Amino acid sequence: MGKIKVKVLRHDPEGKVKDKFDEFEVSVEEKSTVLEALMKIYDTRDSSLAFEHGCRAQNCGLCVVNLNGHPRYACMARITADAEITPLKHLPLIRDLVFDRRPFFSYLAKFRPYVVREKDPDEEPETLLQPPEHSKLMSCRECFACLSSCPTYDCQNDSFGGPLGFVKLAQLHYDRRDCLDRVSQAREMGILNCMDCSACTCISGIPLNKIVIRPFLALLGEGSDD
Amino acid sequence: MKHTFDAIIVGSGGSGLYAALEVSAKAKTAVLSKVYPVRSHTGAAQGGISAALGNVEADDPRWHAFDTVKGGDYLVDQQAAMLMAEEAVQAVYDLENRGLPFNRTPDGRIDQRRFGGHTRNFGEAPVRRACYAADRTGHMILQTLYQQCIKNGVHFYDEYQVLDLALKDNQCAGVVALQLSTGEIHVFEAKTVLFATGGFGRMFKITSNAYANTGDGPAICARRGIPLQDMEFFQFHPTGIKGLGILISEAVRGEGGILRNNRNERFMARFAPTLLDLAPRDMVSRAIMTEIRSGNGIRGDRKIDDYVHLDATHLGKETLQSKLPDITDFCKTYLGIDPAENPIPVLPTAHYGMGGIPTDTHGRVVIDNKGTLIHGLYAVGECACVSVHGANRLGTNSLLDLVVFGRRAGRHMADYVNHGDPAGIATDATDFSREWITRLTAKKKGPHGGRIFDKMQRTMMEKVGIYRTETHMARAVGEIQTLRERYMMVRAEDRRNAFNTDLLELIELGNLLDLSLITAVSALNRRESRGAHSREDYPDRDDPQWLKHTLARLEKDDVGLTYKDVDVSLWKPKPRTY
Ligand SMILES: Cc1cc2nc3c(=O)[nH]c(=O)nc-3n(C[C@H](O)[C@H](O)[C@H](O)COP(=O)(O)OP(=O)(O)OC[C@H]3O[C@@H](n4cnc5c(N)ncnc54)[C@H](O)[C@@H]3O)c2cc1C
Repeated sequence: MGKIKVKVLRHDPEGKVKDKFDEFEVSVEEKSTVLEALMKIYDTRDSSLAFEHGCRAQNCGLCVVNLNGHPRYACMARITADAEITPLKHLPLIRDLVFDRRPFFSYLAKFRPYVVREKDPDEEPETLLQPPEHSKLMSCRECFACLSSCPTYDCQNDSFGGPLGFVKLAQLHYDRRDCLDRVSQAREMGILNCMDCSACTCISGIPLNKIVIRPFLALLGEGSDD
Repeated sequence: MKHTFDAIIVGSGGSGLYAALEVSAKAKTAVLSKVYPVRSHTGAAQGGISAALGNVEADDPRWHAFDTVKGGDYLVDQQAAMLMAEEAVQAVYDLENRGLPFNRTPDGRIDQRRFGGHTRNFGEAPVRRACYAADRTGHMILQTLYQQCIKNGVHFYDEYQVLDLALKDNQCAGVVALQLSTGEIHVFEAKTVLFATGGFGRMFKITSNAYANTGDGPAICARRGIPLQDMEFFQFHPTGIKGLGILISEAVRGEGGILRNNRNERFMARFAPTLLDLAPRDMVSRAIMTEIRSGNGIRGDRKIDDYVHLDATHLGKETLQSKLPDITDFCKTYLGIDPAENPIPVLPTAHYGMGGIPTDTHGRVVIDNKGTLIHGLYAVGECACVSVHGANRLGTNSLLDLVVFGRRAGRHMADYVNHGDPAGIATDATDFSREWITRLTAKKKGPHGGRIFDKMQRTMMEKVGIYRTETHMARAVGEIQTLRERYMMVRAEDRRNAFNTDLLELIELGNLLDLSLITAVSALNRRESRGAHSREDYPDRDDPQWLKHTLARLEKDDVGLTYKDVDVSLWKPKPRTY
């Protein structure tokens, strides 16, 4: 493909100007990914560029960025001329494209985010059939893209857990072994403030609205009837 | 800043988390990890975890142990392999009980599938032994264990990179780490420390490994005088995406995928008539390279980057979509092809280090042939060498190794914490780390780290790769030594404190250079072919001379070698055919 120009948002907490765009010229090939372009910038233009990446195979969820405003795994998205690469939104930034995941997990820890069983199974291995929603939900890579695409989520506001929070609860809600009331937890997490706008996107293809948001809202609607 | 715990776990992959889970039940535990816990490389493991459950067909832990020993070309410590195979069954049930959603048969039992080298009745035919959770087994293991660790109140220090280990005489005192978000140095004092830092595939140019797999744990130990075991054995997985090394899981062949050359021939029939495409990885990788060298690669030009085809077209769109969805995605992104319609161009890729920090079956670090321990120091997972993988690991045995030995080490540590006094960390514990960072960030001009990285990876790939010779390896040793000298002058261009990727990469480069040297020297000295170590000048296995583990000690710019016995108390070594 040859040389293209790419814009990257730089965030520097130690510098005078905290946020600005830098433009880089990089030579790429037709199938080059966003990650390859970032690596090239890092290797040949500016080794102070901070970004995260792990497995190169859409498994670890580390390399997620906004590409022209849409969340994408950098390792799987193709780079295009004049692309604009920015960090995910609504999250605490550390530097350039790197954000802090820690506060979300500390927040989540309050909801006992693990399978809580009433009693151990009678026999091993136990016979178990999970509903199909469960395995879909378990493919969540916790990449945080859904939080970036949610207009209501804000990492500073604890009263709303955001789509990722609801996914983590839904994983347990659909798990036949778990005995806690995850629906009430979804209310505590502020799901009633969800605008049901379907803006939240999951890169891994989990139908968030269909198997997370709507079912929780419906169950809460029913719950408030009696 | 200084922190004090009973137990420190370095690494939050499957092995580290399992150990943390066990030890935290009884002791104040911290997990330090340079990447976020559930993003550890264990999450990339797609294929599955082996256990002779016998759910879908007859199976037996003894068959599993035997396959492991034979797969490892008899360099496996046999009692350890037996123990792993026996404890596998309970380990899988425990994982499930803690929340791991394994795939089920239609009647609700844990489903199992085939993987290379796993057989029924001591080699008769392939057996279904791999338990799996879609193509996300590793990811689910991390999720499950992480949740349980949160439940147990484990303290997580995410994005802390450990730089050094503090020892006092023969006792462990703690570790020194760099906090990535601030650039600050922290001291963690603890009576017991466990390394679970994973693999070191980034030593090689073409690898399936994640960027973080830089062998920090083994390198840190080596610099503190601990020998590394069997480092010459590095597994090349047969099916990496050509040119990139990204893994196409063995599950594709487990489901029926076939390797073909430019005549469309199923060439594995000539190399392993019984197991065919599901022969152990070292054999399949060599078979591919042999085909390429004889002009049977797809281009047929005999060049080292020629390739073969992995044909999955006959499996059908549906099977590919339901059982191997990621594979389809990778092929579309990186190759622009649909594996349901076109064969996948593949080439072996550096995948798994069988060697590492020597331990016993409790994960305790053992530094010689006499069983001498470093008290309080443990290692598990890919960075350790028990040794259950010998000269070549079987697929799905790594995840098993993580949970079986992670659990054993965690339990042993919990016990250890309650006996004797802590060593206490010395006041000069951070000196080495500070000097290292000061040197790397000094305001001087130095060579570019990226070039040294690239040169090291190429040297290892070309000269200490699948096929090895005396001349090439001797050259590699010299080249790595030169690179280590140049490394002393390397400087980071970025001087900021927060998330300085440049600095972190240079630290990792230092670790990989040390491991490359140890690997190359260990390989050069082993004058036989065994498992993944395959020499053109010594093509046969030589049990009288070489049925022994290598222990390699880093001595400044050289490596000193001693050897250690292999436990062959169950099965006598035999020639390995499949
Ligand atoms: C693509 C791929 C697929 C695979 N599929 C399978 C499979 O199907 N079945 C199977 O059995 N095996 C498989 N393997 C092998 C297996 O996944 C690995 O061997 C195993 O996951 C390693 O686990 P671990 O716990 O040792 O380390 P990892 O999961 O690699 O974790 C290492 C941890 O150490 C931390 N760490 C490293 N250095 C430092 C430091 N300096 N300071 C602090 N923390 C540090 C990291 O942050 C990380 O948390 C596969 C491997 C690859 C590459």
